[in-house]
Amino acid sequence: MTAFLLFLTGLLAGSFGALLGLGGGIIVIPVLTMLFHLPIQTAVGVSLVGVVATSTGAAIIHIRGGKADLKLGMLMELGTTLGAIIGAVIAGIVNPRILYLLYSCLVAYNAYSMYRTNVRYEAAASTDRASGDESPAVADRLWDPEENRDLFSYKVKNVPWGVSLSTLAGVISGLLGVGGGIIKIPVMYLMMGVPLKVATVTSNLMIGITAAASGFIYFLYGRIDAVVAVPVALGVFIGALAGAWVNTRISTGALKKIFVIVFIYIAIAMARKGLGV
Amino acid sequence: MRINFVSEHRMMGTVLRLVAGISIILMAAGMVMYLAGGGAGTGNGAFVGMSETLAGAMALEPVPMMTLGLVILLFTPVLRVMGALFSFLFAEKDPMYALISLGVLIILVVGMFLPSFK
Repeated sequence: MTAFLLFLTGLLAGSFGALLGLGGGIIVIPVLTMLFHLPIQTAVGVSLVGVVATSTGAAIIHIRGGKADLKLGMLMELGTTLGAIIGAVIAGIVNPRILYLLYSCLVAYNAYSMYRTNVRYEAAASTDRASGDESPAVADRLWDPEENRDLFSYKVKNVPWGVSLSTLAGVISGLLGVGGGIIKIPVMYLMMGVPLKVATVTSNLMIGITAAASGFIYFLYGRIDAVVAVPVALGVFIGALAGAWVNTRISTGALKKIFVIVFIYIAIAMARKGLGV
Repeated sequence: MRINFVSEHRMMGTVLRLVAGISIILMAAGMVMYLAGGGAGTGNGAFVGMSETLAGAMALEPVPMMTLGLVILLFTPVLRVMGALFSFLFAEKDPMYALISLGVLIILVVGMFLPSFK
């Protein structure tokens, strides 16, 4: 029964993660700590496995499209993998209450970021409708599906800042078991001048490498229990594939609004755990 | 700084599918056998060592099979870095980015050995 519930957790995390454009970690950790009453370090380890499953699953789908920018990804991974290892080591030393509080801040930021994105996409969609353009996807207009390698080059700005912030994203990933895309995508898109869709797919390549860097440390320190992690990983894998398929067929605007409220609730609940109230 | 767009090689997709497939089969088979054997609860699946895991998986023991599947899953992103390294080295002939990919690979490998220095 426990294994089935863990599988279901992974399935929901993977599918909602793919629908909302998140790694599964932001859903897996609250469920494992609040419903299964697992220690946060264990939940983080399991979540990292889920992040790798999400990244690999998405890679299998996207690699034919050849959308991830390897050069940019590898350059930023120099900082991110280092950060992830530092984060994983710190997670073993620090008081779990601090992890709960940090996680609460991250989820709250996630809710805010999701709310802002939703508003921005709705504004873009209404502008498109007014101008007779029916396509609501901002990202798709920034992406040329018939990319030509010689033509498809862009000026990447602020590389030192990008790599530094990517290192921070790695530390957060190693500490809290999330992919860190919530930091990497805005950094690449807004700060470094990378097209949004390239930033998104490159971030997906990166979250797998980052999560593997810290995941191995969690695993070798014995913080990942295969009996817990395997049902979750299998669920995430199947859920991510199903979510990616559904994502192209439905509008996720309403779902995002619901999850903004869910994430606010999770942020409060995790803060209470951290404060011991 | 100008970065020309370089995508992952399609062959990498085939390798990833194969490796991820092996990992999923091991994890799923291990889980089914674990449940069929009446396994319940948690706390007995922590890593015990690579040689014990391999031996256990060869003997078709459920937990070592699941553990090996997990190790292989965690290894898939490392494969992608290795793929990038070879792509820059032989296909793109870009030594600078080959060196950067090697740097990422070294960080990953050092990270894997870190727990043995506790």
